[in-house]
Amino acid sequence: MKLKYFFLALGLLSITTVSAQGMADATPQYQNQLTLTIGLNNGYFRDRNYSPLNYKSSGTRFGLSYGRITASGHRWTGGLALGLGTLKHPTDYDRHPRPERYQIDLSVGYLRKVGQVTDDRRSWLGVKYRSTVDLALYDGAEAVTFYGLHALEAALATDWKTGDRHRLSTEVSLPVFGLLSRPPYTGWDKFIVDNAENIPKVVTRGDWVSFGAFAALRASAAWTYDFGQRWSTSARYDFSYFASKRIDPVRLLDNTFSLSSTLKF
Amino acid sequence: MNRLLLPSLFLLLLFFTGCQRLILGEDEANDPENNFEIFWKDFDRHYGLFTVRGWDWDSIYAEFRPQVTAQTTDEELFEVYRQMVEYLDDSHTFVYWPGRDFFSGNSEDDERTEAEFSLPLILDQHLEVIDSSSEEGYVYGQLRGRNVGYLYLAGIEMEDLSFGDKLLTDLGQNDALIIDLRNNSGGDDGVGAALAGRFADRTELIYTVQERNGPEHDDFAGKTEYYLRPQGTVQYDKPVIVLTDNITVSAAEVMLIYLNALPQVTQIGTATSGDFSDTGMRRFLPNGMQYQYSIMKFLLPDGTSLDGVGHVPDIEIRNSAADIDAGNDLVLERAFRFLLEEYGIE
Repeated sequence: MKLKYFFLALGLLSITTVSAQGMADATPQYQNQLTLTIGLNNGYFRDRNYSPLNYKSSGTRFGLSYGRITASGHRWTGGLALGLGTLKHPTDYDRHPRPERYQIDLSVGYLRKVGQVTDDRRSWLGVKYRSTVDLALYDGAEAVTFYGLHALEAALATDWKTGDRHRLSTEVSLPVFGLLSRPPYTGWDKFIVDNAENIPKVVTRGDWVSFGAFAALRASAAWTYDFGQRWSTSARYDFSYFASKRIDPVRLLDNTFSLSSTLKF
Repeated sequence: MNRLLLPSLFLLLLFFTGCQRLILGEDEANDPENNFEIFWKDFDRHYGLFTVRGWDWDSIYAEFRPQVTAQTTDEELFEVYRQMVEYLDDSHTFVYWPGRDFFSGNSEDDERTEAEFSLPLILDQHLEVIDSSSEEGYVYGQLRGRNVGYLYLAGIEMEDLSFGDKLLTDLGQNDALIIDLRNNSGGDDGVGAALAGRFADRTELIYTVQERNGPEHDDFAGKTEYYLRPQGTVQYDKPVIVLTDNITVSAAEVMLIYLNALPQVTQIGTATSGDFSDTGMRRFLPNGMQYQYSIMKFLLPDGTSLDGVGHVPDIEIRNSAADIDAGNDLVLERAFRFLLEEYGIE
């Protein structure tokens, strides 16, 4: 069923971008871009605070991002992505509700142009602030776990022109310092009970930590086709990994394949 | 470009191949012995009442571990779990085999206690109902021929914290109130605190809570303090009778900590369940079974605990099922007599 919706969205995105070809004008340089993304997520989930079991995760992701290239060629970025998914374990059967997984990813960043810039190749290096909240719920709130990482990350982005209309871009970011929020030792405490209606307060209770107390990495690769000056579409792969041993070991790995449509203005 | 290819291919490989074991490590083995070990160890590391109740969890390991072998069936293993949970004598602790079986601790007398109370009997013989909600589990009204109001709570679930305003508007003119917490299955501690505050004339430390926070049985986080505070614009300071039985549990017992701190409150019935701690999260086993347990300790300001003891009534009396069948609620009638003898209230 999910695949059906995914391909439906894919079709809509394609129609949007193809029909936008006619809108292309001759303006050579646009500084702003707005990107809408929809994707399928597949991941692995091991959180010993939540369960002794290893789970597979699958779901959908939606994203909206903004990018701006300054006159000097530096980049501002900002984005919001939401993920909806479920967890699955081989012992699951019909009598078990499937755990639900909710992911929120909010980021802003500034990357400066670095290295030798050519028409075919550009690189940026900079810093991003990213707030990630990953929440899993079983049967309402019979079991809950989460991690929130609100961190500064070092980011490197590159862009290669691979043809007249297409290019390949990659980005790697590494969180280095931030606020890590995890459930307490027992998974649940009076602070959570007393603030059950205030989720932001719950997922920002934590400790300021630096890389080492956690390990995390994000990487992405996107192939983009320009339909004209104003519109492009991309096929994108995102990888993220998070691990920590604080209180209880947790390892979360996510892969997302997505399609996006970008408006430049 | 070529330098990109290898990392990209590696990432794609991670996605497309069954790399769960590589990323997450080995999953827990689904065999009887490992299922037992996970269960016992999880309680050992997280259960909150070992020291409060004086339980020797190592003795449980010594008794039951030899009974579990590679040939133990799921049915036999569930029976082992059941006995381990029974030992803890805690109604907030249970083991659950979805679709097959369920066992909650401290529940052996529940069926009998349920038969010793009848709300329909009270509605039929004593009460003119003013308001009720089956969803929120309350009914209140005027006791016929008496200047006494009556509130029955099946749980502590009222969503609107101004429930106390409505209650006192409708019943506050009475010379006394009876709050019936028999067969009350608990609910939200905050709701109980708000309601109890309608009877309070002071601010006072009532209890503290500490969650288990480490592998040793006496590892606990710092105390969170909870205070009785007057709530609303008007407080009811006339006599209040609280009726209890052995099912009165959890948030109902927590509400009773607040109420019992007040001089105008008298508890009549039998001792409450004695299970105050919140439960932790649902826990999962490789064999598909689940369980849950208490994770904290409630202490009174003097450092004592009511876990396992419950609230012992000021006047102890219980119905039998035969009393109820005969149309007699001796507990409620004892409350009437107490109000008459102690306060001259009819």
